[in-house]
Amino acid sequence: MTAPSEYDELVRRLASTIRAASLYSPDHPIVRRGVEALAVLSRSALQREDTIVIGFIGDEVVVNAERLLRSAAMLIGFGRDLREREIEKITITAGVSREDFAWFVAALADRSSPVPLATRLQQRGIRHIALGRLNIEEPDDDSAGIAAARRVYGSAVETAQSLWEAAKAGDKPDPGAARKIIDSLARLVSQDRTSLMALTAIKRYDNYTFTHMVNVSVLAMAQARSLNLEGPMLREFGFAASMHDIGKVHTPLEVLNKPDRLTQDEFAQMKQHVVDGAHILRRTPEMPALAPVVAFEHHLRQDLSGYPERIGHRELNLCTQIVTIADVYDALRSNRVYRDGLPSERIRAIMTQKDSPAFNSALLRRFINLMGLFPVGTLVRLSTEEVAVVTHEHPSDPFRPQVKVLLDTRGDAMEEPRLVNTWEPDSRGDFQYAVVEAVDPDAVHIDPLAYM
Amino acid sequence: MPEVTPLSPELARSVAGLARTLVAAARSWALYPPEHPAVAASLERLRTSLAEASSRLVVSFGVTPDTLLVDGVPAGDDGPVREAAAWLHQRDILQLSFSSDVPLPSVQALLQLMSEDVVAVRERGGPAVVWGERADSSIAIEQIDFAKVFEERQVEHPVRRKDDLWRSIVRSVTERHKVIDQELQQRLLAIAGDVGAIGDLAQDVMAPNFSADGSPMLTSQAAAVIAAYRHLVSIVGVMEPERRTEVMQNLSAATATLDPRIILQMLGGSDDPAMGAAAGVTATEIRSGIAAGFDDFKVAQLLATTLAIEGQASGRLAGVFDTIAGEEPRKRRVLTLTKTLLTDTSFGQTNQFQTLWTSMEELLLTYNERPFVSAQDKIGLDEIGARADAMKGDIPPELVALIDTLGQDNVRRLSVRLLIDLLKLEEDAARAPELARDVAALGEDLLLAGDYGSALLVTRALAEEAAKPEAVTSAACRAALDGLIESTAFRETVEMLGEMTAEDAGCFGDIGSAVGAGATPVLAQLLDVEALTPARERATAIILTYRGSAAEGLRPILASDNWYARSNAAELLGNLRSPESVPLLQPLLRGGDPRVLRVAVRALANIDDPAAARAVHTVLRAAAGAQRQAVVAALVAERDRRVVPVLLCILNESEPLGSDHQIVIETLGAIGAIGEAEAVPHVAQVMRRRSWIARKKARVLKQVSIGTLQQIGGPAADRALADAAENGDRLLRKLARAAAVTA
Repeated sequence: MTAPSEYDELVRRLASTIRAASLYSPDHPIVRRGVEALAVLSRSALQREDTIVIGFIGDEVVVNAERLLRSAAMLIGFGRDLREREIEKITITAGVSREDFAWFVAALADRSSPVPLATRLQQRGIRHIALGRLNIEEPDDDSAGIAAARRVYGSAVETAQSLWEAAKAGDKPDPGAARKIIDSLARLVSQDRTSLMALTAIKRYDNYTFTHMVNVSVLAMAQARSLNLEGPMLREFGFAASMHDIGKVHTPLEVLNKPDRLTQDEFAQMKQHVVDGAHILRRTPEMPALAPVVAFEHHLRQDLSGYPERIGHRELNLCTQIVTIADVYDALRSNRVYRDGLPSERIRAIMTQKDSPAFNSALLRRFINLMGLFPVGTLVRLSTEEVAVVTHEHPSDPFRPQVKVLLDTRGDAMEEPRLVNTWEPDSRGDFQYAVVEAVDPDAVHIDPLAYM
Repeated sequence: MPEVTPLSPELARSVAGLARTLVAAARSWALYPPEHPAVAASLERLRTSLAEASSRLVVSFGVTPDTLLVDGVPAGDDGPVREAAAWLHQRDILQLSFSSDVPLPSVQALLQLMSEDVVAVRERGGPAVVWGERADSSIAIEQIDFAKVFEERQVEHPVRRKDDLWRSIVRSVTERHKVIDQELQQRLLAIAGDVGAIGDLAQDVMAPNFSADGSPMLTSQAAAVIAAYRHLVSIVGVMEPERRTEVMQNLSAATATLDPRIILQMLGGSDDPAMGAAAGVTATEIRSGIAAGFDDFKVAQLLATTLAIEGQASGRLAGVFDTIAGEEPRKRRVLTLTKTLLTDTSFGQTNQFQTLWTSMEELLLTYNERPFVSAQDKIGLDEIGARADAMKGDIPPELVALIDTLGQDNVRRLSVRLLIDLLKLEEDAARAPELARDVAALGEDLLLAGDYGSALLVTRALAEEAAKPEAVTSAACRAALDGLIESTAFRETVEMLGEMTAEDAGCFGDIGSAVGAGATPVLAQLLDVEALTPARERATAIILTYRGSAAEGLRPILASDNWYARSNAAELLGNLRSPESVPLLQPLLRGGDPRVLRVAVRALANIDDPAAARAVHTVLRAAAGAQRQAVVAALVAERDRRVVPVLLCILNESEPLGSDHQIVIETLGAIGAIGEAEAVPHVAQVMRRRSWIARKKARVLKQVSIGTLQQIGGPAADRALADAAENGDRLLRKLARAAAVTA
């Protein structure tokens, strides 16, 4: 049986040779040397095994059922790169030659060809190296609807809690559990169903921490999706977003939940969470490469004036910027022990403060549009002083939705709620109805969902 | 049901533990032969429980059919206590007492007695009589005829009689059957009106749910009790709905007597939709009803016992507490009571208690049922997927550029940057080695891939941290750099140094400088070539940046069989211009190969340090004939002015009219051959040496010195010669004048 260290060396060589081939010509000594090493290592392994199957599951690399320890960012990038190119499996069989490897490495490094690599390998007659997809059972897409969404959300929060507690205990969070739930959330975000009303079902002590993890994940994935990011990349956003605050497991509770202004020492403790988070995540197997980066950077701000301080220059990546927006938004809107969540209008005012370096303004504008001005289900006060629930958004004018009027001008419940299209002018061309403001359902004791 | 002052939670726990292990040991004893490991283990557990109970002065307890009594106080009706009580009761035990240290044979004997046929034991006079025959004082047994008492009790409480109807009810609960038999329904109605009977029913439905070691399966037990309650409430709801409130109060009272962990499980459990539909009443309704019947003291007692058992408050407990206690004033009242109860326990007297209590109090008080996101915001998320979908066709150019930041190369760069930043920010000495190793491993990968720019960033970061003695990462970074130097990646990269582009080579040169002099032996392998190849040239340039620290690293290559390897190393040692090179060069002067010797001499001459000259001097002194001439020839071979200081040093430190005479003569010859004016004063000084004994040597010395000065030539030499002719000793004047005439 081949030792894991040999597999490790083989994959490491493969990764570095492909990387070298993207930097240098195929005849360059460093590429030649890498190819030679690959040939030697695979020959050695194939004396003991019939085939070598290298699989890429997320950022995890598995060789003949041996999971490799992740040693460095190179490997992470390697898996990620192959995944992006929909290569999940490389199979090497006995008889593979140095020339096969040379051609394979060069072909893999060549990103300009429109022909899929697997096809090119076949055309070239390379039989001892094959590419493929892994046969991973996809979980059943459980029934659509709010109940399913609630289940997914509830389960996500519980998973978030278990990940949190594992990290707090000094263990590595279980990425398998995280992946499962991110997949479910990604499906919710990707599918056209009303889904996240499930949030209403969550009632547990201080689950802000865990609901926040899930909410930021959902909000980040939604933003990513609005930028046409799909599949593994969407999930990577979900992962990174859900784990962005994991470093807070080491922050004292009294600092974490302190309603007042933090002292200098307390703020120093709070700031440490970005560093701790990066450490936890970079040691966690299967964690996408972006996750520790986002955990480290999500308080940096556009001009790097945030924290951590004393770090090297960088341009913030898209995922960090998106997570930053989702993080702040969810924190502001959430009810906490010491304060109620802020209304949407107030959050919008805070987040869009002029010249604030906190957010990328283009992304923020997009996020605000994404969240909708008066999204479906919002309880609103009309210009007629009636209270209504938004039932449909207008495709082009977010200020003029279709509403169902629930309370009359005196505040009494309508016997028969009526539908009103606020975009429709009357006979004189004036709008009879306009949405004035959102109304807190608790203030009027109405559950808008009951009227949906 | 009369209120009874309960045992302290701690004592109750201790008795429950003893009861559990006693029953488990009896079960093992009955199932397995005495030598079986399961028996040994259960006996050991029993002895441990006994020892623990003894330390808390629980050495004696009375037995009733339902519970064990400690100083007359019931130890609760929970599973193990009840089971142990029933088991002992069936064996006619009234009171069981243990000394503080019960020997193993006594425990075995007790279990043996208890496992015997009850009727046979009765025939021998009962368990106390039989035990008395053994005369074992470590365990004392009292016996009573409980049959009579039990009969009386059954007459007093016919509803609690464990008859066939009772067993049918228990079975219908545990097997989740509907009760449709009229007689059973009537009995259920009767049970619903008797708190004691409800308690008995709860115990009986829980009874099957124990694991093999006797520990209760809390979730199953709680579910069984809830199921039993639902039977009762359902039947009352259908047949005597006006009694519902009363029955709920009875359930609440009966529940208060259960094991707190079971209560917690019952109140904190989730609804089972299937059961809800079948029984006509939901578990949630049952829970609410039970909770409503709990007064402050009961809640405090439940809380105190649970906290004492678990040692902390859990989210589940907080939820249950919130369900029972509801509003904050009541919560505070209950917490005050709970604290009072706990203060008397050993748990309450521990040092950590106050700290734990603060966090428990905070958890229990701040729990609330409010959702953490307002309904409006929750709805705001609705349809977000659809909106996202609609927006993806319209992506502004500035965001397209931002999407590019997710490319593999950039993410790799970010990962590199992250590791470097983490290294610089690290303040945890324990974490430093792992982090430094990871950074070095990344450096290896980057070298293997030929990404020298990134590899340079990584190695520089390590080197910078290693150079800060005050940094917690300093030692770890040095070790990581050493590891990097030893890696295959570094060695292979060095082997390719000659084939690199000038840019890559420059970058690797910086990496080599950053990793430090430890890399010298690896780089020095490239010196093992006769020609001045680019690889050798580049390796030499890197090694030179290490200055004197590189010298020791060249030792291996100096032992090479190839003369050119030794020669190249010697040349490099000379170019280091460091005293550290001298001891390594010295042996080369004694070596056989004149090519190496010549370079070594030149190398020494290159080193501006007295040690270098002394090294040559030592060799000259030690050598003779051809070798010495070879050394001298090497010194003057290229008429390199840099050898002059060495020659002068030899001149000054030698005894020209003694044993060093010949060395001095040859050195003077060498000085003359090079012809450097700097040597004139030194030669002039030697020239004036006199000796009454060694007159012949003195004559030769003066003659050669004069010749040397003539070879050097120039105004200084001329002045020295003129001065010798004028002011020298008699012999010198004579020789100098003669030389002047000849010249």
